[in-house]
Amino acid sequence: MFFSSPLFLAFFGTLFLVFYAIPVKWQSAFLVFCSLIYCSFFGAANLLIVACITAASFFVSRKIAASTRERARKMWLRLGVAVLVLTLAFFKYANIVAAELQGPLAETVVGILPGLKSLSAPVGISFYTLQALAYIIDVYRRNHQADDNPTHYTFFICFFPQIVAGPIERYHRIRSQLDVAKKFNYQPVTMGLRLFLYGLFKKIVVADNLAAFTNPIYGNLQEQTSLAIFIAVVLFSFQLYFDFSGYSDMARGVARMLGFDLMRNFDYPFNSTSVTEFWRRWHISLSSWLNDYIFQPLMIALRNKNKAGIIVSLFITFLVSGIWHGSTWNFVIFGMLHGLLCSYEFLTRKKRKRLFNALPSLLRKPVGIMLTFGFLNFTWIFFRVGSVAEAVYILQRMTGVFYDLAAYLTAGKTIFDGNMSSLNIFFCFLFVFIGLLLDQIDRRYDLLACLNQMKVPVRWFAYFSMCLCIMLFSSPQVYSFVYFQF
Amino acid sequence: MNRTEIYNQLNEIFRRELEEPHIFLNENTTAADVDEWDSITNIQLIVSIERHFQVSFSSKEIHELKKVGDLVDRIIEKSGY
Repeated sequence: MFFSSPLFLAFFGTLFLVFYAIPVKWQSAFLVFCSLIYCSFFGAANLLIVACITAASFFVSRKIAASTRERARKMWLRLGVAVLVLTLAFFKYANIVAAELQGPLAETVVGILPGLKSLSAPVGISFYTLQALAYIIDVYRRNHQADDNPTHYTFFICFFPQIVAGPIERYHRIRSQLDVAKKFNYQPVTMGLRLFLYGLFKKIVVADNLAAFTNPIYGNLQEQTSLAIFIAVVLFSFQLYFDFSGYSDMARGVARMLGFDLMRNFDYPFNSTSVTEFWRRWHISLSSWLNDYIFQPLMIALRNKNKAGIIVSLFITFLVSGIWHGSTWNFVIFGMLHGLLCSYEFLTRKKRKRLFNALPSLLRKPVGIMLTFGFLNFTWIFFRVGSVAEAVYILQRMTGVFYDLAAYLTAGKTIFDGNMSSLNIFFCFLFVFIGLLLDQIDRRYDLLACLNQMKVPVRWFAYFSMCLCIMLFSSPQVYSFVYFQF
Repeated sequence: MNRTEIYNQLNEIFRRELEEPHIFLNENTTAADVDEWDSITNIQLIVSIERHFQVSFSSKEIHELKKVGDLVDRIIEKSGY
């Protein structure tokens, strides 16, 4: 049940009316109930798994809090981490491991668990398991107390706007908001609606139109010209951004309408002048999670190894990030490439700073942005494809881009196969331009807050224009959110 | 060594490690206030500070440092200045 589906709109509309009509003391329980119903739309098994993870992490956190001896606290922490990580690993990777097995072992495994090869990961498990892990580690670190209210804790894990694909929230941020009575307030509700509308525009006008272009090319690489593949590689970068940031805006908008503030997941990542900066701006809830629970502890433990300690920590963190996204080798390479470049940036930080300062000030930022964007396009090839062989094939085809461009310009050779036209590509770049323009206006002036300050006719004209855009230019086919697969 | 002297020496370490000559730390300075102070440079700063003041922080203590004031408190506590 995607945010843009009529079923979700009906579900949320009903929930919204009831939420503000019932007494404040019942609101949290009501949202937990609705969140569990939302989970059940993805199948009863999903509901069962999320319930088990919630119950197990709640139980472990109570045990950590109740233990007075450090040894017992550590034992419960290790047990909790092991249960959560193994559950996540089982649902995400067991089918792939089973498919790789051969001989008598494969027969035994399939005999015991016949459905293992076709097992699919429950929706959102990669996201809410990280929330549960962060929670028990923070209880162990005494960053906050263990919650004794199962309703509040279930709310933290299952809150429906973020359970499917984040943002990966932290307990202290959500818990403090639960104590505030939620009465209908025009301002936050309309702000939430604006955020939802903006996210919907990003998703179904920009991202889905780009998907309509990139999917056929990635799905049939052999038949495409090198230039078409190159354009698809570049456009996929924008598709991924507008898809995921659109989803995040919609999730935040829905939560805001109910009086909750979810964390921002993106901070204009295409303005990054280095890959290290990019990871501070992209999927912030995941990168800050990796920073707090993997990178920092590793770096602190290895700090006496000097630079080698930092590089090892970077590599392990990006390896985990790659594997979190998927278990195939292309995701491992995706993570390793980022680990490699962040290590390079770390080792050359001072030299690069001097080099950049030697450039004319007008060029510094654009050069950094272009280099970073070029690297991201390269690594997202590994992110988008189904196997390393496909990624290698795309990289091999890149050598023909200039030849195709010359042939197009001089001999009028076509770039796309029969299903694509130059008009399609014009609209794709137009949507990217509009999306990026709105993004930059938002960065400088806070687009939605500005809209709020404007007079009623201007405001409604903007809403009407955006709705019209959505109706006229939305992709005929609705694509599922890219990050739902994780 | 009093708090002012510790701040002066910390300013020197921060300026050298981050290559930012205009850093002036105070009690409430946090990583968010200094452009170059990120999670990687943070650990390099910790190592330099440990070596300079001849102290050693545990992982838990490093996690608990939220602002420069906390760091100065820990240096005083550990070194006995």
